[in-house]
Amino acid sequence: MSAAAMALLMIVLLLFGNIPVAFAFGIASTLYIFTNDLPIALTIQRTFYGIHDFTLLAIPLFVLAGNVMNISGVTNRILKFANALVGHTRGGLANANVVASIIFSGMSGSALADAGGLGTVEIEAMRRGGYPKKFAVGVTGASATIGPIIPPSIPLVIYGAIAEVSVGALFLAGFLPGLMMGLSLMIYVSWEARKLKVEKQPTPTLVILVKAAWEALPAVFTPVIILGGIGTGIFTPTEAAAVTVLYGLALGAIYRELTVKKLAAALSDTFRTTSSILFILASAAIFAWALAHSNVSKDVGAFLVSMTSDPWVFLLLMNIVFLILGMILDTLSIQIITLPILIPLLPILGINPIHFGIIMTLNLMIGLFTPPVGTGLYILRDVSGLTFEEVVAAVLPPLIPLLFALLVVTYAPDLSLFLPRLLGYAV
Amino acid sequence: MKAWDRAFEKFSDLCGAALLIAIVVIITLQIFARSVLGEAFIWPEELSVFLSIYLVFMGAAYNARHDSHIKVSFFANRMPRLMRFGVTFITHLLVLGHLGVLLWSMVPLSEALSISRSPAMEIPMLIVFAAIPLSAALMLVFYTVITVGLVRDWRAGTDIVRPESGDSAA
Repeated sequence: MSAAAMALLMIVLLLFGNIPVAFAFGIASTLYIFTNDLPIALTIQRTFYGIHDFTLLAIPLFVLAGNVMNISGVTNRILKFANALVGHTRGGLANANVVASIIFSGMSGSALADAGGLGTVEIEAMRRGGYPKKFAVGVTGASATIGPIIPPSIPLVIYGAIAEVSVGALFLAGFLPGLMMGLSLMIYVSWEARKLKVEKQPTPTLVILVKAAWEALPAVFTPVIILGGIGTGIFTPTEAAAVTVLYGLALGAIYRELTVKKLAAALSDTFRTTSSILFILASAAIFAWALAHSNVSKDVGAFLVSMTSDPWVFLLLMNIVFLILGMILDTLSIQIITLPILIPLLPILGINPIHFGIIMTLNLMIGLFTPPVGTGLYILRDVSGLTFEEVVAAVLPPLIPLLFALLVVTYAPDLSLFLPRLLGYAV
Repeated sequence: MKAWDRAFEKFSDLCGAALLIAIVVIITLQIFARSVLGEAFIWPEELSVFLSIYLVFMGAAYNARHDSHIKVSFFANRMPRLMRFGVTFITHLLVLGHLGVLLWSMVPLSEALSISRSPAMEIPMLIVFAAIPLSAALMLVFYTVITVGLVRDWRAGTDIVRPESGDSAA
């Protein structure tokens, strides 16, 4: 077994051994450097340049934007507006939950910010509306997966940085698949709601609808700023993130819900969360270098291509692999380990890297809510008060329509590629 | 030690907030300068990236202090107690070793870094790189404390199961 293959195996063992993910990559790569007599200075150099990237700055800024939106009184207004829009349909509040998540997705790039922030409000509203708590938790978890598919998106920024493709194009590519996920969830909700004995809400009057829309309008407008700004080339994704932060602060001031204390808490949370993510990326940079240096990525890639040269079969295989990996590893580790191997294969197989980015991210988001290592499940447990096992049982059924959406996204590349091409990206 | 702890926590939170605000302000100025004044500067991009490097490594030390770096505790928590202790203890020793290597790897670079300057602002690169060894030194102290605490917990018969919760922003 080569030193690099040993390092790869060591990473997996370390990850299972209660070690911080960042150190698992760092230790295995250091081992590779020692066993190959490479200069030790490589460790610090690669760690430094792993995050010396303006694109990656979008991560702390989009996390901050999501946190600011959560404290600026946006969430209640979004849910109220979503309820006015679809609350009168069968499974009204559950559908409103999905629509609210779609709208919130346009301002936050994290599924966990959706589950932990908006999710708390959604579960409580559905419970008060007479929906079983498990159903509320299930729909909240499944709808939170839309967050990083509709731009902005933290996993797509990381994918763009590792795969060296345009983050702007990735953002635009996620928009229609995200809407499709929402639609498939709403069909599921309407179907399931037939079994529930929940009274239908009355159709809102035009005045109520217009009032709710007016109150939520500034919040709903956020994706227009982000997508419009990036699509027209006014600003880069990182700059869009900074603008979203300022816009969120302005909303908080307009809604009169922003306080210094809340802002300090949002900044502190952003600091802790994003430094954790970016520290992993810094430590993993040397791992990616070791994979390339040792030819392991080439060898594994050649093996994968030898299994099938059909892009559709390959994508089906990748969907299965990602879903399994999502059950046992965290999102970032999967991206770091697999992308250096898979990205070089895409042109050989004729797969568009932008399309692949959306497929992979959708898989990873489903993985956030699959046991045993689904971070989203723990967040739902904390915000709902259900046991871990109850949360798992609640979330698995609504993941089925998402698997259907995954198949459509996989086998209809135009769904992802239409918008970036329309706005002039050469993808 | 408690007073030092509190001071460190307050200092890191304050620095983290200040760095985030500075990054937002610098990037906003960049957009303003380009779109309104029609001037494109190189320094805002460089400065914001450098600040983000300090943000990350300061946060890494903060997360080490709280043992809150992202990890997969699920499997270790289901191991028998002795095995769980053994695995966690060994992985902590490996972390300490890695941090030592990170510190050591700065030595051969420091001379070259002391004369090298950043392209836009001509800041000595040693100052920018220093974020890593500073953070590694702090983490070395914190993980030593955590490892000693782990051994103490083991000897006292306290449970060493770690919480399984989400601390990822995916």
